[in-house]
Amino acid sequence: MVKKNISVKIFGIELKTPLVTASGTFGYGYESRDLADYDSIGAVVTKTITLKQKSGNPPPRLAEVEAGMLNTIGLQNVGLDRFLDEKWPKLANLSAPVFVSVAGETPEDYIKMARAVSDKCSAAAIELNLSCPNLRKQIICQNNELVSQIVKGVREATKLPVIAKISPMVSDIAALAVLCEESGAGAVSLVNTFPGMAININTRKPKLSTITGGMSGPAIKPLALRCVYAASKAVKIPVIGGGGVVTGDDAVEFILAGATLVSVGTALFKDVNAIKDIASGIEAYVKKNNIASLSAITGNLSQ
Amino acid sequence: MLNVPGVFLRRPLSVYSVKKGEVSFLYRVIGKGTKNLSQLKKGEVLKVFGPLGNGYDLSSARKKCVVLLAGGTGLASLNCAAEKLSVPGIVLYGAKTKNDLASTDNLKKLGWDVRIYTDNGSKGKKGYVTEGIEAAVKKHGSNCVIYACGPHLMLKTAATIAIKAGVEGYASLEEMMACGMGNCQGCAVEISGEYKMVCSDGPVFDIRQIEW
Repeated sequence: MVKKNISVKIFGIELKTPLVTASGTFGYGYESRDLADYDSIGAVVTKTITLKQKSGNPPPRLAEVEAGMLNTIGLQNVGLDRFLDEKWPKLANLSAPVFVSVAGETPEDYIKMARAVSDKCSAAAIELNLSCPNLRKQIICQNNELVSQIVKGVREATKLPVIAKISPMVSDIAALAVLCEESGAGAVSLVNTFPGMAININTRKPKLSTITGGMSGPAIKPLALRCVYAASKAVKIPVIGGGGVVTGDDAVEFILAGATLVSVGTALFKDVNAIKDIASGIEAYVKKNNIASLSAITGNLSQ
Repeated sequence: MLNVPGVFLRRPLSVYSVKKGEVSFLYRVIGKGTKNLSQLKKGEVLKVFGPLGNGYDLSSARKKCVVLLAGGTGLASLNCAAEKLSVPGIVLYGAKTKNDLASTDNLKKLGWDVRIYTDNGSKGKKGYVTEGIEAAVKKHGSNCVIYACGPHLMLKTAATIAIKAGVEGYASLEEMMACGMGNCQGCAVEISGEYKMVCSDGPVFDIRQIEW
């Protein structure tokens, strides 16, 4: 049983735990109903939805690496209309709040989707995926002007809290987080995957169809932690931090680095119910150290 | 999906045989994961997530002559299918050399007509197992049904033969997999022009609909 002492408040709502599913690692969000303990999940983040249906990248889309994996899914999804008709009704019944993740190519795409999600879903927040590394175009996060236009545009188009999911592949992650905050984001979420590659030396072929892909898993945790630390020091809005979180101790590290919520992604591939154990791990830490609430230790590093 | 010690992702293996109180798997030691799996000792606990996905559609198998087409460790799922069928048919089993062949004793015991092919002729007929398919299709025509699992090229050749002869067939596919339940969308294969997931839509697909 998850106890009340690891609940957190964000966007004026109380989440049972600080743990959210990282976009793209938990399907649309409802598929694991029979297998995962949704009471341990603070919020479900959907897979990223695009305006039009996307068939995704050709196989092979996955490669295992030491302590992690590479992927090049390419945002395969049913598109906005089918998401609203077929997927949302199933998400609306979940016990956990839902953050809907969206991506587009232009600010107009994002705005259109934000409007539709606000009108037709009872989502708790909208997450802007500005950081997918597996599309032919550059990562949106690497274009400050575009980031600003998208976040501002969406901010004006919806009353929902707006989360900017940003990429670690920028020269100054703190500055990017500040840019999102100044443009009206209610929270920043980081990190998305780090670009990487792997080669089969026998066939001399890259292991992924798109040659490079996004790396995730325990191997990226220290890199992600540094990004979350830098971003959370720079902004006043909440930070959703993650990257390679597998255990409760990993999650506590992110909270100490400044994350209000912690996202769990690749760990869900190994165990769809991983969040239950991670929540128990955080709870054990809180009990052992006699911590009244997680907000007391968020970003509270001893020097 | 088997939780193998020492590697990050689970390993997707098809079930080789199910007996009372016993489930067995057949695999070849290729990399670190299968090596670690092979070093587990009796009494150690292996966490397993499954069974996942679909299985072979055996409805036609009860009316038609069954041809099982196996390459290498692809024998696993076909052995499992054979155990479910009361009327045995033909097993065409191929590998590079005799050292790459798994035992077919179980199938023989069940009464299946097992025909072995090796690339170098070290056991059975020298040549590719797909030559056997050609012969079987010629003999039985559309009155046979093919169930196949093995290397990409073998399956592709079998599909071409099946389509040409108008023969019903199913193939169990393999892809790199992370979650095993459709959440990651990693194990995509193209079926009739759209991507399907091997783990949750398959692993068995109509051999005539797979885009090679």
